[in-house]
Amino acid sequence: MHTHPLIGALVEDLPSSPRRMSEQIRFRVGISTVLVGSVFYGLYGLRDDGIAALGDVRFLFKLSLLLALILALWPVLHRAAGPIAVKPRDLRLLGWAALYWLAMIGGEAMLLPRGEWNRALMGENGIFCLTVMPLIGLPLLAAMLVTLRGGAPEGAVASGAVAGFFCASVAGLIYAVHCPDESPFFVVFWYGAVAIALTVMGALSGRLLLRW
Amino acid sequence: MDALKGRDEQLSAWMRAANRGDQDAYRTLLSALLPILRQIAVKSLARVGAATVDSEDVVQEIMLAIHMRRHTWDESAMVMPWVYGIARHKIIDALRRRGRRLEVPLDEFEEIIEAPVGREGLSEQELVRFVHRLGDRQRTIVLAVSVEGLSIRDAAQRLGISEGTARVTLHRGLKTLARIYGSER
Repeated sequence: MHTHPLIGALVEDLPSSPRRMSEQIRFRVGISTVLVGSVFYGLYGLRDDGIAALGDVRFLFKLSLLLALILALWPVLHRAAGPIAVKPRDLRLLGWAALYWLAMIGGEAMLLPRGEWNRALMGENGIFCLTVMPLIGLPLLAAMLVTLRGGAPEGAVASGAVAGFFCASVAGLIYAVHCPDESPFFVVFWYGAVAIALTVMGALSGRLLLRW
Repeated sequence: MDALKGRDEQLSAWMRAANRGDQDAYRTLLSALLPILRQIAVKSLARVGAATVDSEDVVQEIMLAIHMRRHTWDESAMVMPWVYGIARHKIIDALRRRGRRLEVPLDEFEEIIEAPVGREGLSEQELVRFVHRLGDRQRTIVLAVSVEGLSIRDAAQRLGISEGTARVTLHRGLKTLARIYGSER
């Protein structure tokens, strides 16, 4: 039996167990999404056409794009909170999500006459999307970075980037419910721009904050 | 490979029990990890030409990190890759703090099965040195439950404080140590 005096101290301190990381992530993501969502919908309303949107296939497809991203990033986010570095093979699900996005964009390209592409891409709320989505995403990112900091993230930059991308996807979903621009062209262009910005921001702040 | 897998299942079982508050399982787990960590530390330091760095110091830093970050282990995953992750992080960190900047290749950890590094007995002095930067109260408690092997209740009684206070002081002491030996500056 190998022993070391430090073990005695660690064993006596066992009852101080922190909450499991996965619980912390679930809890923080849940709380911050509800809070930020309530503020946003409180200010701008849920949606002008209300419940009718649920009958709109394009609206539902738009939501499914963001849900696919969130689900694909969920296990990666957990990986990013632990001491085992995120590897390319952890991103398999993200690959499937990317294929789904490509299929949706391809479908839109086939269904929509070429003359309308530009209008679909630019939409009507591009600038609003570009301003308000980062505002939704930033508090989420802050909450996520605090959470990861309490973990054992390996690779501060990569973990921060994962957090940024994940928060952009959640912010996208919150915003997408409100926004009447439903085209996958619009989503990939404008939401994509915001996602890149938040991912870079996550990486940069991760570099500063996620050391342990 | 089967031996490694079997070992991991045993370690996982102890770690899960520890997560439910089983202190004996936790002691067994840490005692089983100790020789592995010693070997990782000695080998890694030698490999990067830093044999002068005291490996036992690094082992203590890794054990403390495993303790402070134990909530980040996913109960459905294997334990050793997680342990290696923490160890690698702390070794790189320890080297950086001593003015070296090196990458420790992780894959060479993975084949280590127990081959104890023969050393016992020095640990107490090393622990005393390890905790010397703590304040009086925290240091006294940490040393009482480690070097002297008292339970937290006995330590509290000896110092004339409540068990709760002793518990909190011990926890703060370990946290302070983790900060001293962590990347947070």
